[in-house]
Amino acid sequence: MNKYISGLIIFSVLLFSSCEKDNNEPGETGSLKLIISNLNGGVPLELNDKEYTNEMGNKYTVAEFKFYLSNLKLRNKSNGKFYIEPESYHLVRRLPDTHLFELTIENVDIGEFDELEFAVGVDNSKNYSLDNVGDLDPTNNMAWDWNSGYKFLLLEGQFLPKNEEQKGLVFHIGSDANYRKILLPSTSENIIIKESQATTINLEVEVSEIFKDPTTIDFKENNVVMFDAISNKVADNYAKNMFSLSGISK
Amino acid sequence: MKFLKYILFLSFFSFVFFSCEEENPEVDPKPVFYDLESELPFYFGKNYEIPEDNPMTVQGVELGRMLFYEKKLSGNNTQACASCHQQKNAFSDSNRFSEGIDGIEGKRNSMSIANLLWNQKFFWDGRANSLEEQALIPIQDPIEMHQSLDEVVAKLQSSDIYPSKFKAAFESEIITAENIAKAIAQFERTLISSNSKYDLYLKGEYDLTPQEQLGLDLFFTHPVPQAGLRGGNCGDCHTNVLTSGDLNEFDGFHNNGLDEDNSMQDKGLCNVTEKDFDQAKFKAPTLRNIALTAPYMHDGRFNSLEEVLDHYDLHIKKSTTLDPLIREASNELTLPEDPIKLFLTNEEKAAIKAFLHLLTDDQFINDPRFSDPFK
Ligand code: HEC
Ligand code: HEC
Repeated sequence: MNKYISGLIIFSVLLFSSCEKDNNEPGETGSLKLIISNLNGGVPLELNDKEYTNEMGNKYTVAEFKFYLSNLKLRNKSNGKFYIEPESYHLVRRLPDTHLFELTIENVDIGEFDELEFAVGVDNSKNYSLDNVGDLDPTNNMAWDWNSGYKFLLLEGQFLPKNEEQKGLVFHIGSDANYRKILLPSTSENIIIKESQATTINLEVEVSEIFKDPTTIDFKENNVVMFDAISNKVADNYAKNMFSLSGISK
Repeated sequence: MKFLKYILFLSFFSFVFFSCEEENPEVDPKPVFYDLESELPFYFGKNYEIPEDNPMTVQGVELGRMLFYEKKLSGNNTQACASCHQQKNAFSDSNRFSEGIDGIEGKRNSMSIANLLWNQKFFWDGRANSLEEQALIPIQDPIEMHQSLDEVVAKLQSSDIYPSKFKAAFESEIITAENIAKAIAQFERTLISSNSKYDLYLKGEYDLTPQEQLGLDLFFTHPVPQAGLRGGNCGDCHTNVLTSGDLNEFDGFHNNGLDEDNSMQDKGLCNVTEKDFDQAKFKAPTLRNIALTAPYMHDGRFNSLEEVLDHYDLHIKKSTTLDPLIREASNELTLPEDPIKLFLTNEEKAAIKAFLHLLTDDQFINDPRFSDPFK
């Protein structure tokens, strides 16, 4: 009986060691950590309490802010090398107790990259599909309905007009035409992914940019933006200047 | 790799087997894993967490069901959780305010317990952070079951049946309040309602009537009069196919326009967060089985779904914390100082009501797995 057991052990040890090798194969990866700061006017975006003023002098508060950051890529423009995150759909939100939102992406190919690319929104291939990959889960409350696509960016709060009753501030931007790609070249330092190490990128999200440049939004006319033509302009606004890389570190 | 696991598994078992033969074979059976996931329809999504320190087990769920129907949980042995959470009402009750064991009425309407797996905050004001935490509150509440935890534990410990049931579920005969809460929570997590006509429709097994289709569309659409889009905007807060509130933190709590600033009786979420901007915000509950859970709202002020629909359509009260999605919802273009109205037609309201009736799940309210185990 003992012989039988030791036979089994030896057999399994043999099997085990032979397996270990092919487990190690895809080894050459590191991880990328995005630390996303949600800001308004260069300082942490605060929820509910704080009154902000837009370019038109409209006063407002923000109760909720979230968006889909998707299809993340790293690219090296000089040698053409790139990394594409598979099934890349992340819901970024202003959390109740901190303006910082962390996202960690594992198994990133090692190498040196000089551009970060991602999109705000959900691409057409997944926008109407029911295989809920990544954060594309209807219970994240970004779905319009259960099968008609996702909101790409959501901002809700109150608009506080002068000498008038307060109103709601509702920006729900979605639909294929408003999918926007964001390209952020690394300026001083490159993004270097090293084996088994985490590289950190600080990404700033300046909420006030949603309402200006190129199109200044007047809440007196547009305090609710959902399916109107202005959605497109709002998407252009945030695609232009809302995001910036503020630092890369290891 | 599979093969390797198989071998390791075999060799492990042969060890266990042989060592058992030599020593005393008396090993207590371990609680068996309860596979809840396989019961869940895919379209509910995976945004739920079962606490790591309270994994679902067959024995835990069985015990939880007994405790849910156990009158010993109340001070004078007259009331169980199930007294105010009755299966025929989708685990709520039909009273405006439920009476506790001393015949005193509470201040809030009982809530339905269904699909709470996708919730993180419990009670109308969100004061409990888990089902485990929630379960011990009604037991001790002086106007509900009115009994100290020590008394409950002592009563159950001296009963004939419970010590062995706790042993089977938690591997200890010593009953604790913590394990009482864990077992009840496990049972509550199995209360999944997913066999309504709406579910059949989602699975492609039922065709909506034109009225039901209109109701579904209105339910999930926020009106945009400039774009000719008509809607009832219910889905803004009773979200996705669960028809329940946003599950992140307090995002699923809203002021849905029941009262003006100076006539609010219940501060709701503000009691918990102590923030003025949470004044009169309440949990947006699931509307599944809503036709079975009248009366409606935290204080049970509406007796019928018609009254509820008239409220949202015609009687929204303005207040500081009124939800922006209600303030900005109308099927007609309105001026800033106009009263807030949806301007739904009677036909549209009837359609939304027809949709709400689709959410009734007869299988859920007759499921023998959820019924009184003492009967
Ligand atoms: C006397 C009636 C009564 C009894 C007995 C009672 N409940 Fe409740 N239950 C209520 C009421 C009323 C509420 C809402 C109270 C509030 O929001 O303050 C509620 C709320 C709940 C909720 C929250 C649901 C949600 O969606 O947030 C759960 C879960 C629950 N009860 C479970 C239980 C359990 C478990 C027991 C037994 C240990 C129990 N109840 C005993 C009346 C009762
Ligand atoms: C702004 C968010 C919001 C919108 C929009 C909304 N609800 Fe509600 N609903 C709530 C909240 C919050 C409650 C609980 C309020 C309370 O009890 O004080 C509620 C309660 C209810 C209830 C009672 C539930 C119960 O168990 O007692 C029904 C029924 C209901 N809503 C139906 C609807 C319908 C139908 C629509 C669309 C016409 C709708 N709601 C639109 C937030 C909303």
